[in-house]
Amino acid sequence: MQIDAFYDALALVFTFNTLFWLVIGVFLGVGLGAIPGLTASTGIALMLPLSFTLDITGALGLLIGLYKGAVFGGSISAISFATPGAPDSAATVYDGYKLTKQGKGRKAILTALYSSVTADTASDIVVILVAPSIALMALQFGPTERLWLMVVAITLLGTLSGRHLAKGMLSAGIGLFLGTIGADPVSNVARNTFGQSWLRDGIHLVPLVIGIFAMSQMLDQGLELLRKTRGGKKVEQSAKDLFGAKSEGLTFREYLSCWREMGIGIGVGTFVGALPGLGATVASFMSYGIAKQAFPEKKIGEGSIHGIAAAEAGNNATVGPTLVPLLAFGIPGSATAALIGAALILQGITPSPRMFSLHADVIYALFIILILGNLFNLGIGRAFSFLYARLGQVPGEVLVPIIMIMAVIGAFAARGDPADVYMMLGLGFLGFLMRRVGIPEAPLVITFLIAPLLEENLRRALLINRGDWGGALFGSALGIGLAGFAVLVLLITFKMNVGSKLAKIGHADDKKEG
Amino acid sequence: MSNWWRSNQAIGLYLLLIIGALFTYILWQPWAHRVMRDGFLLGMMPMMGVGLMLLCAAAMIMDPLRKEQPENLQDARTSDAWLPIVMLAGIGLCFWAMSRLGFLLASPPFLLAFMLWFGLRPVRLAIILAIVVPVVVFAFFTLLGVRLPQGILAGIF
Repeated sequence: MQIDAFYDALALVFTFNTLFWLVIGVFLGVGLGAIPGLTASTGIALMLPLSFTLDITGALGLLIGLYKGAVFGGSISAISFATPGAPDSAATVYDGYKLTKQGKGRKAILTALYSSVTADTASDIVVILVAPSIALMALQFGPTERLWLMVVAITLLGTLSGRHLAKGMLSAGIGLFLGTIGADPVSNVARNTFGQSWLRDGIHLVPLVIGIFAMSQMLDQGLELLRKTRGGKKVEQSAKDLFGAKSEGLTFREYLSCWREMGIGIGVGTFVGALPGLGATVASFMSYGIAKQAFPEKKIGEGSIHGIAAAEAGNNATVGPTLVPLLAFGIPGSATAALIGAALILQGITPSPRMFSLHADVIYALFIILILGNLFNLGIGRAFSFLYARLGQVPGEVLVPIIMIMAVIGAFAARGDPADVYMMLGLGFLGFLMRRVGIPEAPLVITFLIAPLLEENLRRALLINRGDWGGALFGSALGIGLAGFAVLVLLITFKMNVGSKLAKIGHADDKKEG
Repeated sequence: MSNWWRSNQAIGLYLLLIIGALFTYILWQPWAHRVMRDGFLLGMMPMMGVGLMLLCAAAMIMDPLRKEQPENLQDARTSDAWLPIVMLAGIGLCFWAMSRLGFLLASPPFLLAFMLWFGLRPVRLAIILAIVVPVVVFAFFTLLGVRLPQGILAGIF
């Protein structure tokens, strides 16, 4: 441990500026999460341009706070109105809403909050312990190994991001293609610009991210509003009735009684979070499913706090570990990690294993922010959850146009280039079409970020091996092993249809529910 | 068969045609065949991307899920294709007006029109929100040091 860097990190984090933005991040995140239809990715995409104006720790505080807050925030509307704020919290609906109907909404929300914060903290500690060791190992990798590691990450993302292997990989292909527009990363020669000089610098990350994650979602929701087919079950009570002073709270004994479910959530969430492509929704349903099978006596699914603890611990435990591939290998494992990686890049810091030696203060600051974020999440969640429950009732007719305007501002504010706004609108339409035909967006954004690194490493490997493709691609045992693993993942996913099975974990329970 | 056009197989076919055209276009470009100093073909990575897309589109035509219809397309109507384009055109128009008139003058008509279009009632509430929201957003970004287009109001701020 570099003590000097750690002290520098403490000095960076414990400033008014960083703490202020961390609080704002969590505050906004819980609110965004509580609003059905707005996910952590949408929030971070919209806030990414704002992060330019902040210093590195302020930007990390804002984005990580937002991420943590949004993952917990999704449970608020799931419990209050049976409409999860994000898919990550869908498993929380089963027990949460039943408790709410029994007049125990307060108890349900507090269970969600405490289990979320417990699991998030535990998984963050795992990240802090594990990430530096993996990064140390990754430092030994040459261009060949790094190249195949990226291929493995793209393969995992493409195969596990949705239920259809071809669509996941297609999304990765689109990202790879878009990532090659503009000057090539080694010789700086223009290519793939369709004769347009404004494409010489390539597609900028901010309009891509806002278009694909925020605008596409707003187009989708706008369409739903116009068709008046908004989802969600009928709200039987108002938020005021649900969380009145007489509503039952959560005792410390009850919290402790959920330790097994939280343990399952921590284990599943940490593992799933560290793997590229799976994410919080799968972790939440897996954790919920395991707890339900393991403890039938706890009547999970019939309005039990243990079900909420399992689901919420599962999804929140993915938050920290999702950063492991980014920090250890420089490869984002999820859309949100890609956005946090993008913020680092825009601040002039390239995520890679070298970050641990070159920017050790930033790494330690990130670790401290991860832990502090949980404390703020606890405080803000405890104080304002019941207020946020009302936020979930803000009509889409108001929210969608406002977010559309915010998306325009975000795309424009990043560089002040009007072309970015039109680019964002075009990419928003692409994202909308992808949503319609069931093509996941995350592999596109992550492959877009990886594409230049992939090319750099391939060309470096070729240079080292004097143009010998065999040596460049299969010059080391680890390289061959990683290549074999990528092929194996593709074959297994195709044969066993793993993505489909993972996607069905949620759907099966949805159908049972009604 | 009537709903075949919504199936994965049909989508794969449409994509195959579009991506095939893109692949042909790239193949015809002189830069795609340019060899760089390190011996790398400039068009290799773009062609890898398009190649991967082609492969996946072909897989969609033949794989076991080919007959399945994506959930969001099952009840799709023709309006689903043009309504988002109208929305995007509206937003584009708003941005165009924003760069000339300024954020504070261009945003309220857009917000009002879209809120009413999406069904917000009463109209009075939509009018109030359409005026208040841009002012709050403008003040927030100005406080953060982000300059939004000021247009003809540039002299005032």
